[in-house]
Amino acid sequence: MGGYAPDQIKKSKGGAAPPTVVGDGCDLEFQTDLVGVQSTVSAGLNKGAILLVSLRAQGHIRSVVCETAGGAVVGTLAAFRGLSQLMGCLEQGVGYVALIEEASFSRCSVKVFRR
Amino acid sequence: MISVAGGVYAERCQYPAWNQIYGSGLRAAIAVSSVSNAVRLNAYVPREWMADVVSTLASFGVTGNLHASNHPMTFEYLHAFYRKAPPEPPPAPYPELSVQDEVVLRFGMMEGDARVTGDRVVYDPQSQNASFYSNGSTAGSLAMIVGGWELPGTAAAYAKRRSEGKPRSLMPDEATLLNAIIALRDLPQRPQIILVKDGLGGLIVFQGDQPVRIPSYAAESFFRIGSGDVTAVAFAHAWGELHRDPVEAAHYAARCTAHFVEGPRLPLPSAAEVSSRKPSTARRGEIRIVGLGDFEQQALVLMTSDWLSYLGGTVKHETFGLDDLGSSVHEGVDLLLVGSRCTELELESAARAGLQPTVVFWPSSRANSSRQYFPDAMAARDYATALYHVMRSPER
Repeated sequence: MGGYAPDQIKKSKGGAAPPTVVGDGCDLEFQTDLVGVQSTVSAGLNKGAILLVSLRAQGHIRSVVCETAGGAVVGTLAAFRGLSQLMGCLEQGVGYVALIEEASFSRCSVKVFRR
Repeated sequence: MISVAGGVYAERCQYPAWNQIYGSGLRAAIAVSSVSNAVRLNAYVPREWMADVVSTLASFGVTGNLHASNHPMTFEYLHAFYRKAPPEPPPAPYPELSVQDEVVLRFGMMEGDARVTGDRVVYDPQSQNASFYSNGSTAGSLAMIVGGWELPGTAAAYAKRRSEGKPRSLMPDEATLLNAIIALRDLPQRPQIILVKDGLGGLIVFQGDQPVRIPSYAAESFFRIGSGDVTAVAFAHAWGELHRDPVEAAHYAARCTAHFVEGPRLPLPSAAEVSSRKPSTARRGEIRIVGLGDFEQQALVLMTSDWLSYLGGTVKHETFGLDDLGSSVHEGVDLLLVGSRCTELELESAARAGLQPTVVFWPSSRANSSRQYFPDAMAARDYATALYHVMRSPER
């Protein structure tokens, strides 16, 4: 899975620390917990699995979600430094994936990086 | 429609790993977004976090009345019960926020304060001796939600305990608590409802003559950071927006708290989603702890004894290693603390010695394998979860 992450990016922990940024400003990498975890989906996931990161718009709500290859939404990426930058990069067409670090029916922690 | 006034802060915890931007205000606003038709967050937000907070609010359909600050603050935790020194507040308070709505949830904040006006207002001061009315706030009906030592009138008893060298406790004793409630209700401007949080998800509701105890509801794990915010906003929604009876609203808040601490899980579930959640039973009687491991494990046993006392438990036996284990202690061991470098062989030895604990704390990726030696035990990799399961067990 490490092949997705460019070598020059240093590991960062996301959250309150700003994500590490190099190159075109979209080589983001951070660790975070998903919000609004869908229990039935998350319970079936394993550490090391890869999720797709995508923008969703529903009415006036605009969010970044992590979803399985089958299109099931696992949860929302929110409440961390770098979210607005991530949204901007997604709008430009940059792709990201989320590597599951821990998943259960109630919690899903991921590491997000550029595809 | 509900307006939330509360802080936006960074939160960092080592065990379990947690590094997010929340604070009471942002957490409560996100929480209630799933059950309220309109939510507005009123908050001071550090400039460098503003775009990310705006994006976060937009992700949940929450509107913001956000005031830029120059003072980012981070709350650091070792584990979910142990908060390190709080961040320094700004040298001078920021100008007051002004909030007016039918339903308002007001939290105490580090940067300043909110002057609120509402028909139904819930106030969580998050500090001792804070007064709702002193800054000109008004409420048609006021509910105050506090931790036991946050009640005005407990400060003297708290200081006395400290001066006598008594151990820390999560809750004041019954007499101190009731005296503080009586003093609060004797004030000319008083809250109509007072809710006291027990720190493990339960509440005591003071409204009429008799206090009503709301049990904590059973949870598989216990992520405590922010759980009080969730209790407050769930109550504010049920009592403020839905006009539920305060006791019914408190039950919903306690159920939502149990739902939250299993993750942390946001946003709030509906009342129907949590209706089947079972109450938990508070720990009575003496607690027995056994530690397996080296010096650091022995230190952990002593620290754990202090924590369980803080949570209201009475620790009777502390044992370091199997050699010290008297045969009389084999039965009824409540908590087995296993060092992170312990092997399964040592667990097997403990099981062979007849140890069958109720809870096993083993901060190892192999923690679940302890079940083969202690099949009836709750296995926890997370320290706060282990403490929680010693103090609370699901009702059978």
